[in-house]
Amino acid sequence: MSLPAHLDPTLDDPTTRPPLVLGQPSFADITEQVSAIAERPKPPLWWTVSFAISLFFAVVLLAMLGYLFVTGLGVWGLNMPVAWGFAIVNFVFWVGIGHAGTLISAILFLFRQKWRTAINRFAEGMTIFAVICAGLFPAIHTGRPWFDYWLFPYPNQMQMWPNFRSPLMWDVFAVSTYFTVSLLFWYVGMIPDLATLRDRAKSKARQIVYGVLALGWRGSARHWHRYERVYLLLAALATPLVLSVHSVVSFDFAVSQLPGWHATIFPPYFVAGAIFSGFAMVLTLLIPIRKAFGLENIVTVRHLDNMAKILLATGLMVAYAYGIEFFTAWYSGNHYEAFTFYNRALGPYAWAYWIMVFCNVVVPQVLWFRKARTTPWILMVTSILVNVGMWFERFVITVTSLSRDFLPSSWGYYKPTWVDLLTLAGSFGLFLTLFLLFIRFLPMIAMAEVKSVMPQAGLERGPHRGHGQYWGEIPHQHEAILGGNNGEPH
Amino acid sequence: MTEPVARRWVFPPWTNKLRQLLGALLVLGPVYLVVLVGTGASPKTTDVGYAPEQPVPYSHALHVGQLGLDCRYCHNTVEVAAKAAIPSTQTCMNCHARIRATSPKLLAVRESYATGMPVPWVRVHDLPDYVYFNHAAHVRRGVGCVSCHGRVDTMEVVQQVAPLSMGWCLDCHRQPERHLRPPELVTSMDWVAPEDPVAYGRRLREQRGIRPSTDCWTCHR
Amino acid sequence: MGKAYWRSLDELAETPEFRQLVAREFPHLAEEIFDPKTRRDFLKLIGASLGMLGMAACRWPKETILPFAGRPEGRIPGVPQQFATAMALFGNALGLLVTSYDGRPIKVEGNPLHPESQGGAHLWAQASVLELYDPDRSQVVVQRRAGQRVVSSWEAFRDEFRGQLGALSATGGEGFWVLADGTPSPTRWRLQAKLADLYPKARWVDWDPLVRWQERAGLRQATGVSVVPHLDMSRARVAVSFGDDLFLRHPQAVANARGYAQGRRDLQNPLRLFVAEPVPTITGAAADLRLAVKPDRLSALLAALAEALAKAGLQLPAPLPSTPALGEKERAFVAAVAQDLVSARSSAVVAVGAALPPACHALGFAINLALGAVGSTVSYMPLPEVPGSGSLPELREALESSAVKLLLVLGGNPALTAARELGGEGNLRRAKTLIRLGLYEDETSRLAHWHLPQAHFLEGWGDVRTLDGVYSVVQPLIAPLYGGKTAEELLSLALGQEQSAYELVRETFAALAGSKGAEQAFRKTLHDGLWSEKLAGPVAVQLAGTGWLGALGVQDETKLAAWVLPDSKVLDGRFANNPWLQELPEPITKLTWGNALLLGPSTAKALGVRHRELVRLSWEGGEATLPAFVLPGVAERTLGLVTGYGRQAAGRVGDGVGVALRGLDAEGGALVVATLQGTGREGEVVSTQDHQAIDKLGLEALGHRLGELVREVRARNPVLPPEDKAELRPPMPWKERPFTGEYQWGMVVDLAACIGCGACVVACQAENNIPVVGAKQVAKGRQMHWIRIDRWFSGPAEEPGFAFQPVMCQHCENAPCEQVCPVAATVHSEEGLNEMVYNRCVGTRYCSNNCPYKVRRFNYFNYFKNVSQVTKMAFNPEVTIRGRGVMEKCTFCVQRIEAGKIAARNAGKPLVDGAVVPACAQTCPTQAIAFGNLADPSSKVAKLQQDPRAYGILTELNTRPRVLYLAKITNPPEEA
Repeated sequence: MSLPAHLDPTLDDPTTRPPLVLGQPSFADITEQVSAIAERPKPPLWWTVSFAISLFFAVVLLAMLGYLFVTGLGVWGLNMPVAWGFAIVNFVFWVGIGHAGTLISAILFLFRQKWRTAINRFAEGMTIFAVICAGLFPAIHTGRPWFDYWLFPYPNQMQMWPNFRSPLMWDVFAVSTYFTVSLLFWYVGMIPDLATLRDRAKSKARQIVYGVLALGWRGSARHWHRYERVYLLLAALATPLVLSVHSVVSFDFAVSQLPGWHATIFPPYFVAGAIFSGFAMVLTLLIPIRKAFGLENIVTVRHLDNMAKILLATGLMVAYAYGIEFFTAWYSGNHYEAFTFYNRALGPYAWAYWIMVFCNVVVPQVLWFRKARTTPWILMVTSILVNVGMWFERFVITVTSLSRDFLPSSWGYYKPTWVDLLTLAGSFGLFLTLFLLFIRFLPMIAMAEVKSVMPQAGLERGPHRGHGQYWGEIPHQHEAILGGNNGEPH
Repeated sequence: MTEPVARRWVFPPWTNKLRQLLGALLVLGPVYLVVLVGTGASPKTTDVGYAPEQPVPYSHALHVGQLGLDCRYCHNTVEVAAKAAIPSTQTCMNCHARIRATSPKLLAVRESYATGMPVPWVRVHDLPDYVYFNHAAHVRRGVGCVSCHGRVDTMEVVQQVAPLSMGWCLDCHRQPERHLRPPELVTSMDWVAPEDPVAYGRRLREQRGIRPSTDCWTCHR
Repeated sequence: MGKAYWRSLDELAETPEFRQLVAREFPHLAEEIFDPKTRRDFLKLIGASLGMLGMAACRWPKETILPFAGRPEGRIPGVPQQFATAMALFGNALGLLVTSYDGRPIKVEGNPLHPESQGGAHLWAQASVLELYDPDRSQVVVQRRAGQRVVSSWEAFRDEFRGQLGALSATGGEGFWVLADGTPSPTRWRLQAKLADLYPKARWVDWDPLVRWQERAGLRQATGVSVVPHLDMSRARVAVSFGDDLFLRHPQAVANARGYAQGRRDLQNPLRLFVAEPVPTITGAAADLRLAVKPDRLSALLAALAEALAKAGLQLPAPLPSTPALGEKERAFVAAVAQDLVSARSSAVVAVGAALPPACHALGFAINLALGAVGSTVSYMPLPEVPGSGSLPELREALESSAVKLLLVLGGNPALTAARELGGEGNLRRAKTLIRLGLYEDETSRLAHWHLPQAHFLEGWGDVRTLDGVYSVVQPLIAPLYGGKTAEELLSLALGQEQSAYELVRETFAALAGSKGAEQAFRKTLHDGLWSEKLAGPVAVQLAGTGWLGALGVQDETKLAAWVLPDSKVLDGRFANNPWLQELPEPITKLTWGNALLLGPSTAKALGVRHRELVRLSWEGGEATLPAFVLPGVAERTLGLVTGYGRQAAGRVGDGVGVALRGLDAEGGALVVATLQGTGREGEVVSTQDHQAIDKLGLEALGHRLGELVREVRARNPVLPPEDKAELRPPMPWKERPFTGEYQWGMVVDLAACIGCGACVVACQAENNIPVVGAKQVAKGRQMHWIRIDRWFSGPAEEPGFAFQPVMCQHCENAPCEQVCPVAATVHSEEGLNEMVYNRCVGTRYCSNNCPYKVRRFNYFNYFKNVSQVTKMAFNPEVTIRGRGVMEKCTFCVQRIEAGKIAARNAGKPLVDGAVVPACAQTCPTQAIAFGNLADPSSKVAKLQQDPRAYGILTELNTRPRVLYLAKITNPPEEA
C-alpha cells in the first residue's frame, strides 16, 4: 500500500469520505477501463490457459454424467447406510457459494452500502454460475434424471401429486425461484452497461448481440426511472430469498430425524455458512482478477477490507454454530445425538471434521488484523482455505451422521470413488468456464453504478442519500453521463 | 447527430412488430406445449382405439352379439383367477369341429389343434407389468365386463375402449357405484340399472360391503 | 437388560488396521481406477447419449398371448399350485411343499404334515429352486477319450454301457463298483439288492460326508447292530451337545430347532441347553451354558461326564478311561451338566458331534441309555441291510490294485469329498471305466470317462425315507430341463431293463403297500407328501461290548488343533454354485462369499495374527493360505475351519470363491496343525455386519444402545419392566387419524426362539425376487437382503454370550421414510403397511437416510442385467422385478396378503388367522416369527403383542413399529 495518507482507503475519516474509486478518473475513464476488458480482440494468455483447463474439466463432468446415467449410481461410493454422498455435499456447497452475490447486490443495496457497486456485478455473475452448478446435482443424484420431472406438481393421468411434506420438494421450488430472480437481477442490472458496450461496438456482430441484449436501452429519464424501480423491486424480492433458500436447503437435513441432522439451529447456521463461503469465493476470484485486469482503482483495498470483515463476522457465526451443536447434543441428554458429535470429532471421519474446524474457525481469525485484511495474498489464501473448509463442513454433516446412526449393526463407512472426485472437479470446471466467459464478454464491473458513487456524479448530498431515490428527477446531463454513452458532453 | 443516434439503437423499426409477436409467443407458447404434451401423452390418445389384427379373424360381434355366447364360455377362469384366460384351441373346436369345419378363416385354429401349438393371439388390453389386476376380484363384486371392455358384442375386431390409466382406475375405486350390478349379470352387455344407476349402485355397495381400496399395494407390488 | 453387547473384535480393541483405515482417506480409490471392470464400464460412455434417447418409448410393444391348445383339467393360468415332495440331505429326508406357477416351481416350503419339517424348511431346501434353474448344471452327456472332452448322447452311452455290463456279467460282476451318494431311497435299495443278485461280485459303497459315519460306526461298536439315533427334542428338558451342531448341520436340524423352541416356550419347565464346542455354532449360540473347549478335549470331557454320572449312581460301562485333570471351567461345566442330567433323567438327551470319533458316540449312547433317555428323547432306528455293501477303504484297495473294471459314481462329488479316503482323487483314474452321474460336470466328472447329467430332485421321480422310517415320494414339478436322468433310472439301465423313474417308484410302492388300494394309497402319499405307514420303527438296543472304551481319552494337547466342519452354507461344497447361499451371511461371522480361519482373540494375540491377515497354515498332508478372522468364543489354541470352498469346477458362481482345504475329511473332525504363520498381507473378508471397524468410541455407544435393542429376561420371571410397554406409543402432538382398513397387519419376532439359522433370509430372497449382488458389492455395503439377522456378542471375549435379532422393515405407523419422499413413492396403507411403490420411486434415497432401522435397500445397479433365461424361471411373477435406481424393502409379503384377502372375499368368508403367512414366518424352523391381523384380538399376533416380553426397538423416536420383539429368554443353571 504505497498510497499517500490522504488517499489511504482504509482510513475512515468521518468528515471526509475517502473516494470509492481511486485516482479521480473521469466517467469516460471508467467506461474505457471496464469496457476495454470485454472489447479486446484477443484475450490475455492467462485467460486462454485457465479457460482451456476449466473447459477440460467441464467436459470431464459431462463424461462422468454420461457414465453415471448409463451405469447407475453404483459408480459412486454410496452404500447403505450412507445413501447421500458427494452429490448432496456439492449441491449444498454450490448453493452456499451463490449467496454472496445476492447478499451484495440486494441486501447491501437496500442498506445503501455504496462500496458494493464495484463488486456486485461480479458477485451476481458468480451467483448465477454457482446456482447452475448447484442445480446440477439434485438433478443427477437419482442417477435417472429422465424421471426428475416427477418432482414437479403437474396434472397427470395417474392423478398423482408429489409429496409436499418433503423438503426435497421444497428445494425444487426454492432453488428454481432463487435462480430465476438472481438471473433477472443480474441481467436487469447489466442493461445500461450492455448498452454502453453496444454503443462502443465496432463490429456488426457485437452491435447486434449487445444490441439485442440491451433491449434498446437509450438511457432516457423514463428508462432510468423504470430501471431503478425494477432494480429496487428485484432487490426487495431477492433479499428474503437470501435467507429462504439456504434455510430450505438446511431443512433437507433438519427435518429428518437423523442424529446430527435433526437440529433447529440449522437454518441460521446454514445461511451464515453460505454467506461465509460465498464471500470467500468472491475474494478468491476477485483478488487475482482485479490484479490481472488492473482494476485496483475500482475494486480498492477498502473493498477487500470490507469483505474481509464480513468474512470474519460470518466465520464467527459459523464457529458459534459448531460450538452450540455440541452443547445441544450434550445438553439434550440424548445419547444418539451426543454420540454423533463425539463421533464427528473422534470417530472415523475425525480427519474431515478437523480440516473443517481448522479452515472455518482457526484460519479466519487472522482477519482480526488489518494487515491481513488489506494484504491481498493473505486474503486470497484465507478465502481459499475457507472454501475448502466449507466444503468439508457439508461433507461432515452429510456423511458422518449417516455412517453411524441408530443401529450399530448397520453402521458403515463411505469412500468416494474416482467418479465422485472427478464429478466434483468437473463442477468446478463448469463454474470457471462460465465465469471466464462472463469476464471475457460482459462488463464485470457495473460501470453505471460505479459512476454514480464517484464525486462527479454530484450525488453526494450527505451520508443518507442513496442511489434509489434520485433518478426520478435526475438532471438532464446525468442522462448523458449515466446513459453510458462514451461520455462526450452535450 | 441523428445518424449516430440511429446507429446507436440497432433495433430497426420493423422490429417493433416483433414485440407483440414475442409477447404472444411467450404467453401462448407454453400453454400450447402443455396442451400438446398433455393430450398427446395421455393413454386416451395413445391406447384407446387400439385394435390389432388377430391371427384368426374372430368376431365377437358374431359370437357374442348374434349367437349370444356368454363371455365365460371362453374366458372361463374370469371368476376364479386374476387372468380371464384366453380360450384354448380345444374350446374353439368344441363347435368348429363340425361348424365351418373347413373355413379358411379357421386354418390357424385347426393347425393349432392338430399340432398342439398355441394360436398367437395379440394382447389388446395390456397393463404395465407392475400393475396386478385381478379379474375375479372385480367380477365377483359385480363390476360388469362392459365397464372396462365396452360393448364387445358389437366389435368385429376387439379394440380398447377405456384408457386403462391409473386415474381411470382410481375414479372407479373412489366411486364404484356407477359400475356395480348384480354379480350374476356381469357378463350381460346391454344391462341397464332398473333405477337411477348411482342410487342402485350405492345400495348394492352397501349390501355387499364393497370397499374398494386406493392403497398403492392394492395394484402395485 | 442394560448389558453391553458389541459386534466384533475390531470394536473391543482399537486395532492397528482400524487406525490405518481411519488414517487413509480414500483407500480403494486407486484399486477402483485400475480395476478392469470399471474401466470397461467406462467405455459405455459412448453409448450414453443414445441411452438417453432410448427413454422416449411411446407405446407398449406388441404382446402375444399363447393359450393352451388343450388346457389340462384344473389348470388355471396364473394360479399357483402346491405339490408335495421331499429332499434328501444329511442322510435324512425333509418333506416339502413346492409352489408351481404355470408349471414352474418357484418356491419351496416345508410340509406341515411331515414330521421332520412340520412346515419349516432349512436354507438348503429354500435355495434348491435356484439350483434347479442353475444354467451351469451339466446339460449333455460327455465322454472323455484320452482326456479329450467330447459331447456324446444317452444313446451312445447306453450302447457302450450295455457292452461293458455284458462283459462283467460273465464274471458275476467282478470289478464292478458303485459309489453312491447315500440317498436314503427305498427304490434305490431295492435296485441295489437286484444288482447284487445280478452281479454277485459287484460292490456297492455309499459315501456322503454329511451322513454321520462315525456315529454309525460308534453305535455299531456299542450296540452290535447298525442303527441311527432319532432325536425328539420337544420332549427334552435338558439337552447336552458335545460339538454337535444340532440346529443347522444335523440330519434333523429342522425338527430339532422346532423341538428346542417348544421346550423353551414351556415356561413351567423350560428346556436348558448345554453346549461344549471348539468353535461357535448357532447351537452353541443358543446354549444356556456354553463351554469353548479344544477339540481334542471333547472326548475327555465326555468321559469326565460319564464318570460324574457313574458317581451319581447311573449304570455306565466300566472301566471308564482315567480322565485328565479338568480345567476349572470344564469342571464347573461337567458338574452342572451332570446335576441337570441326573435330575432330568429320561427327559434329557446327550448329543455327540458328527466329527467326533466312534468311541465318543458309543459313550454318548451309553449315557443316554443309562439316563433312560432311549425311547423317550432319543430312539434308535435300524439301517436297511443291503447285500453287496462295501466301504471306501475297500474301494481304495481295489483301485490301487487296478481291480476296478467299472466304477459307477451316482451323484456326490467323491473326487472332492472322499479324496483322502481314496488316497487322492487321482486314484479314481485307476478305474478302467469311470461313469459319473452328476448335477454338475465337476471335479469328479473331469476324471470320468463318461459324465451323465443327473436329474434334480425337483425334476425327477424318486422316493426317500426319513431316519425314523417315514416314506415320501419325491414328486417332480417340471420335466428335466437338461435331459437328466435319476440315479435309479441309471441303475435300472445297469439292470438291463430301462424303466422310467416313475415306474420304478410305483413298483417300490406297490411292493410296500401291497396291491389292495395301492392306487389310492399312492395318490394320498403324493398329495400328503408322506405315506401313512412307517417303513421302520425303533429297535430295542442294548450295550453290547465295551471294547471301544479304550479309544477314549485325550490326544496330545500341546499342538494347535483345528476343528473342521462342513461350511454352514455350501456344506461340503455341493451348494458352492448357489448364489443365494454364497451371499447369505454366515450366522456367526456374517461372512459371505468365502471362508476364513477362525481363531479366538487370545490365540490370535499369542500367534501374533491380525484380523483379516492372510495366514499360511499347514498340516500333515496339506496346507492352505486364507484370511484370519478373529472371533470371540473360539476355544484357546483352536482354529476354526470349514470345507466346501475354493472349488475349481463348481460353475461360474462358485469357482474360486474362498479357499480350498485339500486333503481334509469333508465330514470334518479335529486336525493337528503343524505350522501357522501370518503373511502380513490383508485377506479378502466380506462380512455384512462389520463393513467397517468400530473404534472404542463406537463401542461405548453400543454399551448404551444394545441393552435396549436386545432385551433379556430370565426363564424364572419372563416379564419385562412395565415402562418398556409404556414407551411403545409416546403421545402424538396432534390428533391421531385412525387406520380405516379392515385388517391391521403386524408381526412379532420371538428372540427366545430365533436361532439365527438364516432360513428366513433365503426364503425372503426366493419369494421376493431379491437380487444377488456379489462379493464386491457386499464389501461396499450394498447387499439387498430384506431381512438382516443382527448378531451381537456380550460379555468377555473368550466366552461371549450371543444374540440374534432379525430386523426387517418395521412398518412404522408413524414412518419417518414416508414424510421425506418427494414423489410419494412410499406411503402408508389403511391396513398399516408401509408401502414402497417401485414404479413411482425416483431414487432420491432420502427415505433410507431417514429410516432409523436402515432396512431399506437400494438398487445401485441393474442387478438383473445378466440373469440367464433359465434362472428367470425362478422368479416369482407376483412380485415386480426392481430395476436400477429403485428403493426396495420388506413388504410383509404383500402379494400373499392380497392373494389371501381376494380369496377370502371371493369365498365370502372372513380371512382366518394364519391364512396369510409371509415367507420368513412360513419357513422359520422355530416359528420365531408370528404374523397376522392386529385388529382381531383373538389372532396369535395380537395376543403376542400383548405378551409381557413384547417390546419395540427405537420406539422412543415415536415410529410406532408394527413389528414387536419378544425378549430373549435365558435359563442358565443356578451355579453358573
